[in-house]
Amino acid sequence: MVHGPWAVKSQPGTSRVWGGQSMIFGLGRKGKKDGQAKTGSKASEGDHDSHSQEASSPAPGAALPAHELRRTVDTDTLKFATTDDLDPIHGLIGQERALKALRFGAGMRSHDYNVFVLGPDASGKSAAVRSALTALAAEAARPDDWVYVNNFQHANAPNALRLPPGHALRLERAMVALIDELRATLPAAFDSEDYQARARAIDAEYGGQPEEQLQALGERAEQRGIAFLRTPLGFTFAPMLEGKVVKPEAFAAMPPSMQATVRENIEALQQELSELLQSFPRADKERRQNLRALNEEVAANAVKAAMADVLSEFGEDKGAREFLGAVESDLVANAQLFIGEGSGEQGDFVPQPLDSSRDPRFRRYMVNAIIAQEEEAKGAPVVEATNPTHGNLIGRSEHLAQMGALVTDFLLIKPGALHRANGGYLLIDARKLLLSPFAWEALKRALSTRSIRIEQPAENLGVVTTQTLDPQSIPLNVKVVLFGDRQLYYLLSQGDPEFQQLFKVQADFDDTIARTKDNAASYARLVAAIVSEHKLKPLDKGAVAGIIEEGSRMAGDRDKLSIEVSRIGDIVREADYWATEAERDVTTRDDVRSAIDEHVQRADRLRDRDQETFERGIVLVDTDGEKTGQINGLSVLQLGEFSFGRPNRITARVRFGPGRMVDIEREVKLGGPLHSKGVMILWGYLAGMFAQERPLALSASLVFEQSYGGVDGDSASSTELYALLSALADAPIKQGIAVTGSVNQLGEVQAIGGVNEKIEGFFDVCRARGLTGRQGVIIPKANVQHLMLREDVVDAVKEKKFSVFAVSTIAQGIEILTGRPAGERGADGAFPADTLFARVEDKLRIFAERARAAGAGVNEAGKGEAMT
Amino acid sequence: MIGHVATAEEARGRVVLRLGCRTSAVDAAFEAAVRIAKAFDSEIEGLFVEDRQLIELTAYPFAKEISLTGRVSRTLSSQDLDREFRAAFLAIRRRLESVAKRSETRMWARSVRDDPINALARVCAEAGPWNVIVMGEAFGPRDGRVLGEILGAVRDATGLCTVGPRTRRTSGPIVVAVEDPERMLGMMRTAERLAGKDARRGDIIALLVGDNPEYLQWLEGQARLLLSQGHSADILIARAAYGEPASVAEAIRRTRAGFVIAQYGGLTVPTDDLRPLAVALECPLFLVR
Repeated sequence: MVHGPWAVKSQPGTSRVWGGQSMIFGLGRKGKKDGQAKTGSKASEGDHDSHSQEASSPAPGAALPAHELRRTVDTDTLKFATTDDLDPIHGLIGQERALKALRFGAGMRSHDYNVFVLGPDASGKSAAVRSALTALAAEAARPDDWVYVNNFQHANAPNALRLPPGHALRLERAMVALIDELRATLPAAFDSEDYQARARAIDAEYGGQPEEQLQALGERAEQRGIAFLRTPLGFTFAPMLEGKVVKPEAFAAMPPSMQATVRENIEALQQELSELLQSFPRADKERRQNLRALNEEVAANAVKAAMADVLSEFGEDKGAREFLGAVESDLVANAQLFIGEGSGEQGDFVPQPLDSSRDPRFRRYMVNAIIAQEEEAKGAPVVEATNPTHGNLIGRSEHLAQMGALVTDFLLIKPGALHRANGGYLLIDARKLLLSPFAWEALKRALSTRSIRIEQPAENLGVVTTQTLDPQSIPLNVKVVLFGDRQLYYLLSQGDPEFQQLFKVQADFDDTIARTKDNAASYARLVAAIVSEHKLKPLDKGAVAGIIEEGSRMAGDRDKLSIEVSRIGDIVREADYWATEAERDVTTRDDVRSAIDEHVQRADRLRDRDQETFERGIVLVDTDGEKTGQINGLSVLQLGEFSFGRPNRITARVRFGPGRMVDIEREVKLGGPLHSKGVMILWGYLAGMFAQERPLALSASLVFEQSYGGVDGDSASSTELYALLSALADAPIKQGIAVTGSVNQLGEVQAIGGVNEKIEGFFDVCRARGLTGRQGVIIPKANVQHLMLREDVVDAVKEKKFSVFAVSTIAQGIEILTGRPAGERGADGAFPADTLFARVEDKLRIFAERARAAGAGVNEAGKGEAMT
Repeated sequence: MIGHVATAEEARGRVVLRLGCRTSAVDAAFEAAVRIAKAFDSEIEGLFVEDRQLIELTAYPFAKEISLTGRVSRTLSSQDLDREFRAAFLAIRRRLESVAKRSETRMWARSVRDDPINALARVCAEAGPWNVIVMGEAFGPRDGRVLGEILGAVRDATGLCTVGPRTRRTSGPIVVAVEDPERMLGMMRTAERLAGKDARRGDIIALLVGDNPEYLQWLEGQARLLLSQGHSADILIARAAYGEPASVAEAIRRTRAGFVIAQYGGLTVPTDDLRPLAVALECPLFLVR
């Protein structure tokens, strides 16, 4: 499909008022090109508005009747008083193909049938997809819960545990309750008289504590008259009398037999002491073993009793049972964690209630419920990842700073959107995803492996120097829905082989729908939904009609309706504001018009400046009178979401020459390829039309006057041709008429884009200078179906102050422009005398004869070197 | 009695921390000394006693020193003992300095060569009657008699604080073990001083100890009468069934006390067998005569 937009890019530093702005001149409006070249209207079926009732083709060359310029809505066909009478419609309208694809993708169980939703922004597709998926998800089975629990063998590799839906939070709460209970029961168990008595019995079995045994030895020594003394590094014995060590001289005075007895006793005691001391470690080891066994027995009893409820609740689940078994073993082995807390060591006689889940000693027994549903939850989740960073997508393990080091554990694992959406649907904006480092690769990896594996991006870069976790991966069963525009989809398709493997379903949302009776009715219900959602005043049927008409304007096609829900919503809400300003309870058509006009006014400062350049004569454009070789072309400037049209003077000069047309825009590298193509087509038309039997000894130059930016598009090709024909025929062109349309080599005028803006742009210039009734615009006939002109333009046409002409051939156009018949070749092959084409042919013949007289160097017709 | 110090509001006194040959003095004993010193705005004197008898013992050719492991035996020499005493004292002093710095308490240490009990009596006599002795080593199950000997010999001490082998805390309520209502007032004042000005209800427990219900009932009446005169304490009753100290010791353990104040000689601290108390006592024991 070829269509004829042409555009001008601004040039910084030029005399244009918009010079230096970052503007793109052209058609710009996204998606507008689709269907623009289609001929004929599809709106006839069941249509209910003025257009269909009065549809008729004007005579060639005649101005279009006013009703052809804007397709209005006959409010009598709207069977409601206000939008309050309508059943609001939520979601998209007229997007059956896309929704069918979405349902297919959602229904396919394979992991690689994920969905890419293509479509323009602000079309409401994400809301519609969410709505559709929510409905599907409501009927789907609830996914399982997942928790991370401590791996008692390898603490840095937490275990993932699957639990029936709704069980995760219960288990989490149960574990906190379990620890709370053990904090009371375990100390009590070890504080009981039973335990204390048994512990004392063990001590007694091994002769009491070492100190007690040493004291016993001392008493036995004392009974033998021997003192048992401590030295800095050990023990010693000495003769004793009346509780005092006998002095050496007194001992020497003792009878030898007594001395010998003392010596023997001391030696025996030394031997006994030596054996006793050597037995301590062995006995202590046995004692401690027995005491440990007792401790484990007491702890096990308390732990088993405390865990009975938890086990009965979760014991049927194998994974939970294994986890609880590991918890039980660890609790028994580490019962000392519970002993002594909250007692005198902390200075609290009455134990204070503490949050077990926050106590670092008990973290290992807690449960991190990363996918947890409430008991009453139903259906599968539909999750939208609004900020799809790597961590937000696949989860992350956070860290705490402790003593200058970053530490982590399984409780610091945070789920990502994939976790939350597991078992359901995950909606992601593709552009945001691609702009987040590592996120796209992580998503593909998760989808390919069908599992969620939490890892730090920095690990891949090898820059992690702190403690990290390697959590067990979680099986993934999710349907990912990416949102993006078509360009992104095709880029991914082309550049990433995995993309096509994983996203096999494309749900292609159109930005417009046909303006049929049914769709118009749905449009009204969509307006009702917006009213309902934002709690606005109801709209009367006139206001709804205005919004439908604006929908067509936004679509750039009177037989289409834009489904830019966001923009429609803006209009409805802004109209509500103006209704409030006007103290109306119901929003009317006037309010809708105010909303649209005010919106335009807020954005059209640059258009005003542009208009000013025409009014002050800075940019030279004639809107009255006649001139040869000079014509007004039309262009569209796109400034963000706002676009407007403006005229440009195009001039042509011809002379005898070697068969060469100079496209000055191209010469100075301001012309784009489409523009150059259009100029070449002109040459083809001229050669085919007028130089069948002689060389085309023509030198011509074409220029966009006061154009300092780039020019592209071929929508000015017919305009340039008219200027050329005018110059060749020396027939002046009416300057009150501007022209748009591309042309082919056969002289047929073809559709272009932005027709409404172009007409309105010229209309505004003319109105500023004063409408004369001789002003108008020539457009391709194929573009009549796109006409949705502003009401002031339509009104001017009704009042015969302005005209819009639709032509299908160059001949029709040049007749309007010059007021002369173009002429058709007669049976003799010649154009009738004094027709415009005859004058052109005469001029070219003269050039050819001169060329022949001058000798060589003239290109043969059809082989002409069109430019440069 | 130290109770007298509190009554007379003679705040200053001295805590004599008695340290012996064992370098591994009990941490809880240091903490107890610090707490008492802070409560009474006192300073602490570390008294390292070089047992004179050991020096005399070196004259015996058969006197041997058996190492702590029991695997090494050697003949005692005065030079070796001197060196060992010096090393032990230096170690003790370093530890005292560390505790003093941490607890912001005035503390110094000295070493004397004497009979252990004589040394205590002599040092306490030097500084007047307001001394509290803190034994740096845990008492053993059979040390009841030794405690009595110290209390008997050291007249210039108002009380004796000791720790058991299982003592591990100094925080918690102060338990006043009352067996004789005559002594209760003094012990209560000591407890109040130890508890400090910010004491709350529950910080002091009056544990009424007796072996028959009638006596305990009478004792409770006396205690409540005393407490009604401006003292605050929770009352618990520990009946020593069949006169067994073990049940009193168990009752003390259950209070999770941070300090126990008791009289020497009785059901709480018998004069002979301290085994039940040694097993159950998890905090310092403050003995009054």
